[in-house]
Amino acid sequence: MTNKIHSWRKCPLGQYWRNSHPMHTPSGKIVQRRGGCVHNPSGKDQIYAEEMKLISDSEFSKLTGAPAGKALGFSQGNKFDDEIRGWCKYWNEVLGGDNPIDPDLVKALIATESGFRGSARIKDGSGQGHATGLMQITDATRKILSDEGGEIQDHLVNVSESELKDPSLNIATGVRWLFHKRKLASKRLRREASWEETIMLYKGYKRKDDPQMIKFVKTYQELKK
Amino acid sequence: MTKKFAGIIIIVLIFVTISVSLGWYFFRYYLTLTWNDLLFAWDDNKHVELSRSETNERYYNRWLCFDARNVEVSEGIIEYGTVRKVPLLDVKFGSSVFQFNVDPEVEWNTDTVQNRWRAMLENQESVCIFSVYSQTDDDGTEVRYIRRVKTSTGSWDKLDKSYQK
Repeated sequence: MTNKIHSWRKCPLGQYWRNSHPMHTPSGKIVQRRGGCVHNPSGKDQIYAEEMKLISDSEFSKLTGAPAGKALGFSQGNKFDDEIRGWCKYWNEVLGGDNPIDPDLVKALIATESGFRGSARIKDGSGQGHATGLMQITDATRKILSDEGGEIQDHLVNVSESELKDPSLNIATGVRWLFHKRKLASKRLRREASWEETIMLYKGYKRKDDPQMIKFVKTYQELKK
Repeated sequence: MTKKFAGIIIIVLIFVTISVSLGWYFFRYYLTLTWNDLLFAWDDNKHVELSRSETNERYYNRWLCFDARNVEVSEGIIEYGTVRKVPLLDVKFGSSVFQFNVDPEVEWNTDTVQNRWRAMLENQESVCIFSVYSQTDDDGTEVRYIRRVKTSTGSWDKLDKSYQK
């Protein structure tokens, strides 16, 4: 199938993948609902959890390269390297352009956001919602990334609150969000923002010498040694 | 000659009356649609190149309108990532049976959707549903996925995030 947004996608541009699935009807029967490619009414590229899982399961184990296989003192420090590698490759090829994201940067971010605990869920900075999973995706972020009429121009990601506990889905969402944050940072700075500046915006730090930002930089440098 | 001519006129009039009556009987529910609804459908289909990778078939959204009394708000349970309740619209039209589904990728506030649909259907003569064909079950039920529901009281669109969790 031609004109796909990425070779890993199952459907052409303007459509997304839906799995076949069972449904229990009101009469008590169980019927199978067809899967296949489904039209995006917005015309924007959309990806949903089922297709992300298919991509993750079929493509990521074959990949090599960063992130570095260092656990950083965490018992699960190397557990999500395949997912980090795979989703960085995917979003770099869809969005990366001349300045791709470094998988080690994402790994350092996960280390400082959640300590590699996929089930982490805490109140977000505003106190009104929650931040979930490895990359601590907030409720607000999740909604922005799926809003066809919102600030995300294209390449939307649709995951539910419960799906964000899945490590692969969380990383896919978090990396997509980083690309959006970089765009926002660049607009604010009126020049191309670095990924470090993007991380500051992601974490809500105003200064490079913020102790938590220094901790992130040290973690990243540890991975690059 | 005059009698023959009169006979022909009468037959034509009877034919036209029956045609108009049948047309009214089957298509009167479509009067719920406005010019904007037709434009919406035209615009939606203009951008669609729907196809299924396995069969290369094409599926387009279209308006189907029914007597509101033949439409039942119900629910099903799907296994899609998680096991959850989804709202459905079941319609009987003559010997045809339709089941209108919602997108399984979305976690719906099922009760809220159902309440909205019931409110829209209450005391209404007709309802129109903009939907795309998906499959026909073994029992002949035509399964479709909803984009929009409309009665004279208003409309419900699947893109309205207030109905999603």
